[in-house]
Amino acid sequence: MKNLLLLPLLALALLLTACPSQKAGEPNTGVTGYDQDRVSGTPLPARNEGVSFLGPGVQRGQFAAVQFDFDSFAVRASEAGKVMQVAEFLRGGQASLIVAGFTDARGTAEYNRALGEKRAGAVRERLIGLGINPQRIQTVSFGMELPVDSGSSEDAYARNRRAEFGIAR
Amino acid sequence: MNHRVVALAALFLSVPSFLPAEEPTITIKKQGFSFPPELASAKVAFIATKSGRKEVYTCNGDGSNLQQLTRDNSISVGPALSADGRKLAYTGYQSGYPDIYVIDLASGARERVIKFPGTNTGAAFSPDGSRLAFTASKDGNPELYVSSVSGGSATRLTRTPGVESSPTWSPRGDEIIYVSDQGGSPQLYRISAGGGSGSRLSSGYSYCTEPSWSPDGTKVAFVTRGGGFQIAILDLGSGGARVVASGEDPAWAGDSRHLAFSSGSALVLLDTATGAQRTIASGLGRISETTMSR
Repeated sequence: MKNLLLLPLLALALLLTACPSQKAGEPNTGVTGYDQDRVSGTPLPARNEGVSFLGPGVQRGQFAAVQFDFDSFAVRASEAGKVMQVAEFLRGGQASLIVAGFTDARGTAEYNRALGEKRAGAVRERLIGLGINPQRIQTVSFGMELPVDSGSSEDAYARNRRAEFGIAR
Repeated sequence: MNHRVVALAALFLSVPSFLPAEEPTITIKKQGFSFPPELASAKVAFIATKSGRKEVYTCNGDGSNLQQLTRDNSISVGPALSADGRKLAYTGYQSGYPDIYVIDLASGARERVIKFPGTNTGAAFSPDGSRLAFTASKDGNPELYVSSVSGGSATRLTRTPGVESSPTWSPRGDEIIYVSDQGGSPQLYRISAGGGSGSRLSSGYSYCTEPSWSPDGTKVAFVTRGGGFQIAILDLGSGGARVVASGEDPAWAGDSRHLAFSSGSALVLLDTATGAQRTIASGLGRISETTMSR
């Protein structure tokens, strides 16, 4: 019985000492711009009004969408190659980019709109980390709108958790 | 094996009382609902999909005077009524980006008031109607801001590595409760309307979104998840929380007793004192994102 009572205390002690460089409960976002307990991100450039992700002047579908885990905005290692392909393309020209973030339908609407923006922002920060000028990259969130799969299976949800790329020439 | 994983497993296996109870018993009483006169004359707004797109609809608190407010043929979401019911803010994608529009409900005049780069969404009127709190990403991260109701410059309230959304004002307009996942899951936080550090409100639930601060200031309705979405009420005095209904998007009426919320294709009014419910609108496709004037 005594051992059972000691177990949670031991667990707490392990938690406090296991990861001294990361605060408890803090998500590993992989986002640059992190400064202790503050994150400013990289400010977005002014909009080019009339040029939008769904608009006629933007080419969508040229690059594969980056997929995300449930309720996460971390860019998985398995998705990093997709971001690098976009970076390579941008290095070869002057096109600007709109990154659009989406969620599955399992969260509530307003939280999902913010989460979608966070996903787009996480991809943008990756591109900036790869040397792309921040002034060339805009973001937008559609939250749970415009799903690519209207099903309610785990596979459908996984396909909808994504960031897409739109090239504005 | 990772020490942190071992520690977490040991903690949760050995201290079951830390886990929130998310399997409540909900008793729904569909009979005996009576509308106080002030409730019937209050205004409710919500999103419905009857037209094939998400558009804003309005009705009175008893379901009368139902109208489709927007015909944007785009994506119109996140409506918020001012306390006096004269103005409605919402998030519209007409520009291709989510911006915040304010409609004068008497004249029908509409203005795009928040149009920063990136995403602008989740507007909430201050109690006196002079300010808007909202989420924007212009500085590179979705954070909370406050601006004049006519737009212009915005003051940033939060600075975290996480996702901030869904502000709701205190009755005096000096504080804001909002949602942040800075601790790893969406939870309720409280911050001064002038900025500073947000402090977490402990509700006992692992998923807390869509807060609505009651006009008397004593409690917050919010959405949690246990199977489907459920509406819970957090008593700010005692810190206790209880689930009161199955549904989403709770919005307090001016009496701090009745709640409007959505449940699939129904707009529902709940008497939190008795548990009685009445559907006040349906047949409009899927209904979501409820807001109510005082």
